[in-house]
Amino acid sequence: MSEFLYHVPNNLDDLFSTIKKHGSSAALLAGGTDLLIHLKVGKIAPQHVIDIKHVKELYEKITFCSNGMTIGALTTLINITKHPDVQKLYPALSESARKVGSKQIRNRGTLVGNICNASPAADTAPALLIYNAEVTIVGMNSRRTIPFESFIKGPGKTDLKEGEIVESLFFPFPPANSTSNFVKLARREGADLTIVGTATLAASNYETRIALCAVAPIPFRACSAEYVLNQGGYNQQNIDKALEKVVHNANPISDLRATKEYRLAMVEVITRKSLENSLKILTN
Amino acid sequence: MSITIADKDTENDLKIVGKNVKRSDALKKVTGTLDYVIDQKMPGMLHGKLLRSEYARAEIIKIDTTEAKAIKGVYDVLTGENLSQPVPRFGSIKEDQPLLADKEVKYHGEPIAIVLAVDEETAKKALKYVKVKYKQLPSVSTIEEALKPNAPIVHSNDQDNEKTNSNICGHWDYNWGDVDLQKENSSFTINNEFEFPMIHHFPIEPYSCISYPVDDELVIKTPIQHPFILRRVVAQALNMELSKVRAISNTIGGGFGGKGYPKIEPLAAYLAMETVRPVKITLSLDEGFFSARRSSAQVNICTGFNSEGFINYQDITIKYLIGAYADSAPRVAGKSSYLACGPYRTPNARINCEAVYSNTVPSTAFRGFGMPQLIWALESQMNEASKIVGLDPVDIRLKNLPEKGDVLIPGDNPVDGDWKQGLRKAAELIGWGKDNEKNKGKGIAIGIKNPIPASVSKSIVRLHADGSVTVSSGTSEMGQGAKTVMGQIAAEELGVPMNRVSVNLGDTSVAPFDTATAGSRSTVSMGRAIKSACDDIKNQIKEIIHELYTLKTSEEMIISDGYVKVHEKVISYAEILTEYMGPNLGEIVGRGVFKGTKINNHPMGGLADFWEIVFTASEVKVEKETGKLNINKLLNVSDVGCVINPLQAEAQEEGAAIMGLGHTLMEQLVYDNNSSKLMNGSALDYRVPTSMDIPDNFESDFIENHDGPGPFGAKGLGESGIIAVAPAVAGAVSEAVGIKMKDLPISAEKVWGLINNKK
Repeated sequence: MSEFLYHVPNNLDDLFSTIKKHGSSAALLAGGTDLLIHLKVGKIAPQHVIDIKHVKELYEKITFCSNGMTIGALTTLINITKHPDVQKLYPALSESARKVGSKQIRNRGTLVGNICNASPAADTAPALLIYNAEVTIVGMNSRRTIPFESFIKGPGKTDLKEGEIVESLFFPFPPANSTSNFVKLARREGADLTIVGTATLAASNYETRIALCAVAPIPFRACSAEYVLNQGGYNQQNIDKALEKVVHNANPISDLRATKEYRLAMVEVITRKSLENSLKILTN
Repeated sequence: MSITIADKDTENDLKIVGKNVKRSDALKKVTGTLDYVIDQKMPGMLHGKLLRSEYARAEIIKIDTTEAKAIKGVYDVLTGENLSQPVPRFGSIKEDQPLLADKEVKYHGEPIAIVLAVDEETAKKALKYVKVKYKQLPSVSTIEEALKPNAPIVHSNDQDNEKTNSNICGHWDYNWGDVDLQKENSSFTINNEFEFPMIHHFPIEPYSCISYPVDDELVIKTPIQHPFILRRVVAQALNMELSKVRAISNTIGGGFGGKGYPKIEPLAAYLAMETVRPVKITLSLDEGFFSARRSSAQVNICTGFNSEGFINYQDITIKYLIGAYADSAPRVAGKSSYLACGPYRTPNARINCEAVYSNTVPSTAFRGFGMPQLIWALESQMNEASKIVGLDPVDIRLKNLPEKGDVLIPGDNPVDGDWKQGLRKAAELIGWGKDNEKNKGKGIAIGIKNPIPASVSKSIVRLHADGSVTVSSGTSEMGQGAKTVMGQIAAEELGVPMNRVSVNLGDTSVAPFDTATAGSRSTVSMGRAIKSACDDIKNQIKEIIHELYTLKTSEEMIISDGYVKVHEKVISYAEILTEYMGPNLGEIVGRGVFKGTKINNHPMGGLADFWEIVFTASEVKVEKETGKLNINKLLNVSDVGCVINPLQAEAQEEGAAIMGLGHTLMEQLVYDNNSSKLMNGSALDYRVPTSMDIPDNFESDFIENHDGPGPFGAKGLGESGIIAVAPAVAGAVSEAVGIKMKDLPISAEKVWGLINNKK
């Protein structure tokens, strides 16, 4: 591990001036579950590490208001999985957060960190996509909110500009009479990188949302498939047609975990499974 | 004088053996305070970090260490050229592995330079400044390529090679009966080729050793299973007397064969002698992938049966792909292939085995010592045979299992247990014969192995003046619980409570000779040595009593439970010693030895002390859409003769079964065929089962007929649990969805591909 200076700003002003001073030679530390690994293997060698855990304006609480839920930059994955209201209202988020790493990782790692890492296989990303999550980004003199769908730009790339950080994520309440879930396929039950991950949302008025990770350069919403179901409802023929479109939207690679051929086949299987899970709950 | 030494060989008399005595290191393990080498420091210690080859095979044109040497805190940077010439080589079978690459690298990840620095961070940093110029050479990483007529030769100058200018490191033939004759007489034959992948041991404790000089002696402290082999190998490589090298086996955080034979120790020892300072070399977890693996194997097996389903003959050709240096791989090949016909009565056999060099990580001993590879083939073959002949998989096995006392391999010890009892027990526990739900199946398989023939174990047990006891043994503690078990054996034999027995393990300057902590042999071999040392103590007590009390021949003396009964008096050991030598003076030193049966010209060097046998059964549900396997049940029944510590025995079997699930379901080292580079040598890409992957119903059971050669009728265990997992699972998968697996791991994608006829 290369040497670095460790900074602990305690408010946003300090944080931004520290970031400004050290610019691209600095790395941000929240949970550190990715950062430390990258530091140790020499993938990155920042001269400054800025710990944001003590910035008083940032928070780890999960708060609810009249139209949705806000998750702070410091909210750990374990707190998301444990929160009873998240389990009830946003089951796909709760389930996908539980699939990230091991318990030790979830105890330290944050949801915001998970998405800022912008991995194509980020387990929580499909849930953020189906809940139409919004990302609030703050800089020294700026504040903006963008849909999560336009936040991830490519593998490891986000919409964050230099000097900006993610302050929080906002999740509008899901549609009335809807249900959602997340299904993951990996090589083992213990912590593992995803081969295919799918989150779906289905509603009694046929509003449908489908999102996937690990089968394209970035996690994505399968809009054309959603359209088929929104319009035609949940009969077998429509589901088959929608799944065809999901597969069409996927663009997986072959790697050590699975071949492209298998991933494409599993896009259909896993998405079907997730949809069926949703529909089972919906019809009950 | 008549003397009774209480007979402990009946179960009811046992007070400590057979009980769940808590592991001596349990508290330290769960509190994270056990003293592993990786956490140890010494004053003035230098830290070594290795630079490893980027290529599988290349000529080293030039290594520039100038920049690295200039870094503050760097003590020295050494390459093969800087060592004494010719570069010292080491190896337990062939002295073929240079301390650092000698002009040519032979595998991706081979050490080519070492940085010595004041701390590990500095050494790591300096590695980046060592500049190497290579000239790439063609390489081989598969059996097929390595055996091609014009294949690149891994050891082109090696006179030892079986055939010069070939990659065949060695070959072994075992024959009995007349296979060719039986080929005409068999009513049906089955011919298959099975493959078993390269597997890494993946110990959670990374390799780490410290070596330091003391006067003209050299000490090596390291997590090593076989300290006496380490001592010999280092003494040979550095041209030293055995008495000048002290190998200390520090507690081991996972060995599995990967820490059996020397790896980084000879280099650390050399550098300690050169620098006259303590030298510590620590590898990262990922560097373990460049240090040791299981040989992959290709097994062609042709079995002839008669019309009733009895085996007529086995015609087996085995090719093991070993690495760039021999390590212990030739012994793995030669020894396992000897038992390629497994546990079955085989009247005619032709076994041909080759070990083939390649430009890959050296392969070595790995739990099961070649048997998982061969049993995978043999038991998959039996599953297929059962279908063809129309017999139940359990019945065809019962039919072909020998009885106790029958010959297994001509010229070796006969069958030493009731194997049908074990198979029936496994079948009963899994619920064999009951109908399976849809996409569910059951599988059963038998694993077998022999320990190290003609091995030697010695032990010293000291009875101190206060009646407490110290056991010294060359066995290592690698998690298998030897420290506890050896203590239990001595405590039981001498009638002393466990808390009065101390156990010193694995230090060559303290303990007498032991062959190895391997082959599931220690409880039997070292256990016998300890028992005989305890008998020696009792005989010395007898002589002392005789001298002290001038016994008349008619008088009786009983030694039992830590006391001696004589003249109607009950005397403790401490009282006897005090009376004989004076208060708090002296001790009685008992010497014990076990020596396996050595036979000259026997292909194994001697007889199998016992047959380690296991009956594995599984119930698997196959998720057809994804190909994913859910192992609902997995159980092992091992014939161990007598369980010394039930808790530990179960833990050994369970640990082995989980490792077996690893190679069955997910593990495999992947080499790029063109570059021969290791593609998944990291904890992230190479997956092993976690606690989340353990079957819901996971059991170990034992057959205890007290018919083993070890103390209290024990046989060995520890490896058995891994041997037959793969065929037991594959058999269940075949029952569930009708597909035939011929290679491992049984990944979801592979199952999905077979169900959907895709390759």
